[in-house]
Amino acid sequence: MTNTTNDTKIVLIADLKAKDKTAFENLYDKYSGAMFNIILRIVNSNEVAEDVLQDSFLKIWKNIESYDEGKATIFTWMLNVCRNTALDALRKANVRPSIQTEIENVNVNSLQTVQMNIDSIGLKNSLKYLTPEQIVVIQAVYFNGLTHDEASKALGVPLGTVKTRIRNGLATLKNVFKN
Amino acid sequence: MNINDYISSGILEQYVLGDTSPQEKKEVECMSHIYPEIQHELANVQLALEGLAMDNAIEVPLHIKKNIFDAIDKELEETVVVPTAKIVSFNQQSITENKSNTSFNIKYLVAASAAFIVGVSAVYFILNNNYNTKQIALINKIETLSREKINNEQVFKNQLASLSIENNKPFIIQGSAKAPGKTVIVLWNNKTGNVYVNNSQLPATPIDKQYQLWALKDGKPIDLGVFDATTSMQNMKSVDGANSFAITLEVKGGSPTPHLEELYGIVNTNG
Repeated sequence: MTNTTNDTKIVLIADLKAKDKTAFENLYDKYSGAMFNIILRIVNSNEVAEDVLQDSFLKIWKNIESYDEGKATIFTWMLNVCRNTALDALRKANVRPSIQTEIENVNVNSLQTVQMNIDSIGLKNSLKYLTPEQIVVIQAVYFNGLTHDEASKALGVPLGTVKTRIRNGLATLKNVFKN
Repeated sequence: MNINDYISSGILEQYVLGDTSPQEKKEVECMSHIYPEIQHELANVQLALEGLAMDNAIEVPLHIKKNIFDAIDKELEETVVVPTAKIVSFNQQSITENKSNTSFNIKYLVAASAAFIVGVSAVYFILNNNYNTKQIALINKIETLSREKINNEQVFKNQLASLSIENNKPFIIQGSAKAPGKTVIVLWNNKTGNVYVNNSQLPATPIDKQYQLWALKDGKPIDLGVFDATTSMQNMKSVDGANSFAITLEVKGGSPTPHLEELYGIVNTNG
C-alpha cells in the first residue's frame, strides 16, 4: 500500500475484508472528509455529525464482509451507510430531513443568488458547471438526504423534473470528473 | 424494455443514493448484470457522485479518527484473545512450556481415546449383534415361508392331479329327511383312494357336533373323517374300495361307529 496523497491511496477491498487495519485507515483518510460533509448537511449539527461519522465508520469496519463489489463501488456503499446512519439520527431526534435554509430561500431564477449561497454553504469547484436548478435538486437529494419524492414536494417541482435535473447535473459532473 | 428509457428514468441515480424500493434495487442489480450499457451508466453515476463528494470534502476533527481506531483496537483485542486462549490451554502451552502437563494430557488423551474406542466398539458390537440376530431371524422366516409355499404348491399339485376328471368320480349325496333338498358332493379317486368332501350344503351343527363321512364296504362302515357344515374341497381319509358313502351327525371329533339314527344322507357307488 503506497502512501502518497489521501486521494490517490489505493485501498484494496480484499485487505479491508481481511480486517487489515492499515487498509481501513487508508479508507478513512480518503473518504472521511467527503462523508463528513454529506452527514453534516443531513443532520445540520456539528456535534451530531461527528457522532454519526464515528458510528458510520465503525459500521463500515464491522460490516465490510457484506459489501458486494459486484453491486456498487466502495464509495457508494459507504455513502449509503453514512446517509442511513445520519437519517436514523434525525429520526431519533424526531427531525425530518429538510432543505437547508440557505438553499430553501434561493430564488432559482437568480443565478447570482445561488452562486452566493453556494459559496456560503461551502459547495465549490465542480458545482460551478451546473445550472442553479440542478444545484438545488442535487443539493436536496444528495446533501440533504431527501428522497426524490420529498425533494419534489419540498421544492414544488414535479418528480420527473427532479429526476431530469439530477440526471443532467450528474451527466455534466461525469464529464468534469473524467478529465 | 428500452435500455435508454430505463437509464434516463433516473432509477440509476436513485439506486446510487439508496432511494429505491427493495424491488427496484433488485431490478437495477439484475439489469446492470444483463446490460453492459446500464452497468456502464451505473459506474458513471457513481463516479460523478464520488467526484462531487470528494470535491466537497471538509476537514474532520482529529479526535474522531482516534475514537474510531480506539474502538477498532479494542474490538481486535477481544476477537484475538478468545481464540488464542482456547489454543494455548490445549496445545501450545501444554506442549512447549509444561512437559508434565503435556504427558498428563497425552495420558489423558490416550485413556480417553481408548475409552472412546471401547465404547464405540461395544456399541457397534451390540448394534451389529442385534442386527445379525434380526437378520438371521428374518432369513429363517423367509426359508420357512418358502418351504411352506413349496409344500402348499406340492399339495395343491397333488390335489389337482388327484382331481383330474379321468381319475375322480363325483358322488352326490342327497340330504335325508334331516336335511331335505341339501346336497354334499363326495369325490373319490378310485386309483389313489383319495376322498374329498366338496360344497357341503348341510345345516349348521350344534357346537359339540360334527358331520362324519363313512365308506360302507361289504356291509362294514369305515371312518373317513369329520367335516363341518359348510366345508369345501376337504381331503378326507383314503379308502380303497366302497359300496357307498354315508354321512351321520356325530360328537365333535367323530365316533368309532356311525349312529345311523343320525343319518343325513347316503349314496351308492355302484350307480
